[in-house]
Amino acid sequence: MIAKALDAGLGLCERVFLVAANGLLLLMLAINLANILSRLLFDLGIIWVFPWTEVLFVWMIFLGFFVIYRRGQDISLDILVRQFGPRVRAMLRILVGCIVIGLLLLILYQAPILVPRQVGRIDLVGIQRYWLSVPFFISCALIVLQFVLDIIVSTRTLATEARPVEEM
Amino acid sequence: ETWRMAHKMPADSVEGRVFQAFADRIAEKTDGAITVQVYPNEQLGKDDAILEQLQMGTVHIYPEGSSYLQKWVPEMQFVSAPFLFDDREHWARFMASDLVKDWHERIETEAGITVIGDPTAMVRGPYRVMVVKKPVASLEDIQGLKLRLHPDELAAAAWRHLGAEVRTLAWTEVYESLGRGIVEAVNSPIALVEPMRFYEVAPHVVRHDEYPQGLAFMANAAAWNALDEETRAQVLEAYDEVAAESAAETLNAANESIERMKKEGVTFLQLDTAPVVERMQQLYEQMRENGELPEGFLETVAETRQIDG
Amino acid sequence: MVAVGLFATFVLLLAIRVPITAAIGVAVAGALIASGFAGNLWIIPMKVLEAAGNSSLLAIPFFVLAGNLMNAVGMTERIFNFANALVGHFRAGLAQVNVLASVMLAGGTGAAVADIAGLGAVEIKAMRERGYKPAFAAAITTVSAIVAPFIPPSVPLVVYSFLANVSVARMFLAGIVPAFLIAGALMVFNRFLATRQDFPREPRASLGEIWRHALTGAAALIAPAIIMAGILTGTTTASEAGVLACAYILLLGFLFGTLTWGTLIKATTETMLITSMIMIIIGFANSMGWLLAIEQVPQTLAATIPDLVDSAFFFLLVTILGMLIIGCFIDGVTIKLLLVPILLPLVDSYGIDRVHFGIVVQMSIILGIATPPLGIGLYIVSRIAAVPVEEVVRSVIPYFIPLTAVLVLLAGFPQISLWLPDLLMGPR
Ligand code: NA
Ligand code: NA
Repeated sequence: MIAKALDAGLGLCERVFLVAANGLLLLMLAINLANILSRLLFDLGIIWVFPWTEVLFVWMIFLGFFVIYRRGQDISLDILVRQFGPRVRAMLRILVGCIVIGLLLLILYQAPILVPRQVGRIDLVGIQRYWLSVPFFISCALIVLQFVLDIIVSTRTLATEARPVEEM
Repeated sequence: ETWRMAHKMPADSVEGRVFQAFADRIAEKTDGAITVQVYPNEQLGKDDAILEQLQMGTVHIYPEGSSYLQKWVPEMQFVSAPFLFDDREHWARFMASDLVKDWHERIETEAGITVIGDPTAMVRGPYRVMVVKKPVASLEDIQGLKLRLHPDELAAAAWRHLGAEVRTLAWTEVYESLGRGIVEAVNSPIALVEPMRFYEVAPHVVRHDEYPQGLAFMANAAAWNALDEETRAQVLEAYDEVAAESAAETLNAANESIERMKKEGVTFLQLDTAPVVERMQQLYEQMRENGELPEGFLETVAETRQIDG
Repeated sequence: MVAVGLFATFVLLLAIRVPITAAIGVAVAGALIASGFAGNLWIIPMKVLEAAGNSSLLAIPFFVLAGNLMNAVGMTERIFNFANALVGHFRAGLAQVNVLASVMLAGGTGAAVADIAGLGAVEIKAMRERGYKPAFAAAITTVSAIVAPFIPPSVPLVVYSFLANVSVARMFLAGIVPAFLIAGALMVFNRFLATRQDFPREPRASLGEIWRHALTGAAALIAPAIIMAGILTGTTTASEAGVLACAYILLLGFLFGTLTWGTLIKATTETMLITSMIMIIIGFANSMGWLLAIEQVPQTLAATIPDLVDSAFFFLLVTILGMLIIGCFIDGVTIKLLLVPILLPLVDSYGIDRVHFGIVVQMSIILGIATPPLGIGLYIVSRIAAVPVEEVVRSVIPYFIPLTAVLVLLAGFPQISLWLPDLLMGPR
């Protein structure tokens, strides 16, 4: 029940992040094209394009961070894990979940230390610097939830013991 | 106690040598009570990352331009206002004014960062130039000139007001963009012209003294204030000595560098700055009317100018 | 030592299927704690942000998007049908095209990862369709990207020039012969592999067929030309060249009606995810560089070198070896910032030309994209080819024979690097 609600919530976040990150990429493309064309046709550069591209790039990377994990598309090596049965695999999966959650909680714990110091208005963009790292910390929090979900599912596999995680 | 000093110059550059000399002198003066480990070449990170580490205390000293302090007090961007100060002495008097002192106090309260010694004493440059593909000698030559700037609103407003076509690019792309003509000119302290090699693709170096440059030795205030008075005095003594030596050394290094570049066919010119300064006055007046300048800024600039000298 | 613990942790975590970014993060966090920086773990998120804000990597998303869009609008087929008509009857024909395509793209970017993720998307698709094994296609795509920094434009060589205080123009010229040497070595090795393994081979195309494919491929073949022309005429900077290529491909897709909303979104999604992955990996590895720097590890290592070696050539070999090992953990720019300034006094004392040294250093560093465990090229290519990393590694390993040979030649014969700059700019 909780798992289902969590899954639905994370699924919604994934869609929102995906749309936003794609939008940022297309926006980067559009403003840089505008800059090139403006220089080519009017001999006039658009000075805010470069600083804004940097900002959009950072946001895109950090929004993509969660989507990668949500889709299970981060690279991992399963050469060793493949040798084991579903039970050991589920146990390892729980262990991996705990490790990743531990790391991300450690990082999230740094947010209140780091964010207040990431000040300073970004020139020609006009926002404070910490807005760059906010999406990173949000993604980290969502990835924690994703692994919590993963652990719940793997625990059930252990309980039912028969089916591998992938089929649930 | 070991302190860490981070900077972004190569260790064997003029500034790199000055920083190392300061580090050595501190150890000497304090009789080893404080030793300073120097980390050149952005080894510990770039500007923002270092300033944040300075606050957190993994870095103790970071020598850079005062304007980097605008991160906490935006008014600090005006300490490098282009074509406003008559000369280095005028700028030094301005930097010693109550206005700037007040900004520095706010920075210490807000960010926990203090500046060791007089930032105008430690010379950078020693002057600013434009490296450009065609000769530039007057205000007219600046009209329509494609000038690369770092993203910086004040500098962009200033150079646009002077008639340049301002373009922003990452510094790693400047060399090739000069070569291919995406930009025609770039501003730089004279000391960096040779190491950055821009003159290879833009063979004219124009001295314009855009603004005087110094190096503010930004320090973690808690660490600095924790030192006893005697030690602080010793560090400041070391600072003053090295600063005094740095001026001549920087000038020498610049002159030697210019001689080397001349042999490579680089021409050196002087910009006629009087009309430039005059044109800039309009912009500053206009900015004051729009309320874009700090309270009392132009007045302080004027007051520090009028001091008998 | 901390480095050993870090390495062991990283490998162990990978073995139990911890995702790569998290494995780096945990290993680095452990190393920070072990080195007495337990109270400074904010270094990790700070360094991730710093890497993401590194403007010299802005070229990556645009080149990657260009590659994905080429696939999306069907330009890939057109280009590779033409290439295939030309060279498909040779053994390893498309593998050779893969190398040549990288040499061409090297004139458009200095970022090897952009080559792998952008051009690679195109190359691997084409090679799979022609019956090449995906792991092999992935391997040749990874190693051919190594030429990217050696042909201008090249941010990596600009960075070295600044660090070493040498002429950028000289450095650019010095990279050109080595670039063709690398490409040549890879092509000879491809030929050798082709005779040993059974590579797909197609009947020789008639002149008429070649002409027909050239015509249908013409519009597609203009894309690389646009990248080159954009840079050479000063219309775009090196990182903007990808933008122009994207715009052109989108326009073609629109005109030919091959571009749908769905394929566009698929291409941008793929681009966004792979760019994000590259940058997050670089970001976590970035904090590793901080730890090495603050602990002065490179200085300590460099100090022992003069006692160990007494000739310039052996000094270069030791440097290469060191860079290859460190390159297994941290990314190229960080290595350069850490090691080059420390090694330069030694370089001068051994009487080695700094330009020559730069080429050797660049080659050692760029090989790091293909060496496990932290060969970022391996992870990218594994993603786009949908082949497990370990299979890519298995196929990449043989290529270290020609690549190591080139590296040793570059170290042993300074003339290979210095001949062209000396010829055109006069000897130093
Ligand atoms: Na290739
Ligand atoms: Na290149």
